[in-house]
Amino acid sequence: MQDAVFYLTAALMIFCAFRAVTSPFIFRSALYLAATLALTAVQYLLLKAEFVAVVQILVYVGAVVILIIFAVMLTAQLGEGSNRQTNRFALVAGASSLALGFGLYKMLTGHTWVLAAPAAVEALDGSPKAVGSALINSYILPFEIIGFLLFTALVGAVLIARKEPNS
Amino acid sequence: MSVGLTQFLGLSALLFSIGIFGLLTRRNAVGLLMATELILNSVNLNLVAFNRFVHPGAMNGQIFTLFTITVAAGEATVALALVVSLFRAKRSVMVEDINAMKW
Repeated sequence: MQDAVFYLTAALMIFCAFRAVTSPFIFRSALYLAATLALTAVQYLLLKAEFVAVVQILVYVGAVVILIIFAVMLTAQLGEGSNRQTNRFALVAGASSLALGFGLYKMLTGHTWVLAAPAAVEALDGSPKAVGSALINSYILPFEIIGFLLFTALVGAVLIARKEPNS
Repeated sequence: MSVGLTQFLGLSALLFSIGIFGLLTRRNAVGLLMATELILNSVNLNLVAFNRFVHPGAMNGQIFTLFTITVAAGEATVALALVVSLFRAKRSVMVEDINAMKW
């Protein structure tokens, strides 16, 4: 059952990701990206990382994709369909990225990972309680720093995107 | 074959290469950003898979994924602000039109 879900989700993810980078309409490509990210949340659920799956939906599908769609609408150009969205290096780029992905896969699977015992794998707890306690106990300093980083990004984005007062 | 670490590594390597392909072929700056999000997402999948199969006793992979998602959100915010401000200045978001610092 889990295997069937994995292979179905993986096939859909690869299709949606491919359409997201090749679609001639940037708006559709944003929707395909949203689908890919939502399907990734399904994979996280299969990996028993429930909290990460919820955050994925909330932050990526709920916020980042909406932001991207806003940017697409704000920068829409007339006659977008006739305006090519890809450059002419598709063949070279496809060959080199496939070679890169294959090399990456070979490198990652060539190493013999010391896998945990199946009982320990099943006992993994990705619930909000476990993640929250790890965040507050072991990772409190990076947690605070990431909050500051988000604040800085917010102020920077407002500063960059606002109109100049006298122009 | 039962789904294990290898299958997740293969899936994320494929998603990574699709993202690289988008990064190399897109002309639209927003499209480039979307390809970047795909790449970050594939790395996150890897981290969570390693957490599950190699080191299930600790939460390191999942916590790292949460941080990556946060940084990706911040990066998207700033990048899209840059795109909007570029569009205002140049009336274009195609990356070959942005060549003021190139000679």
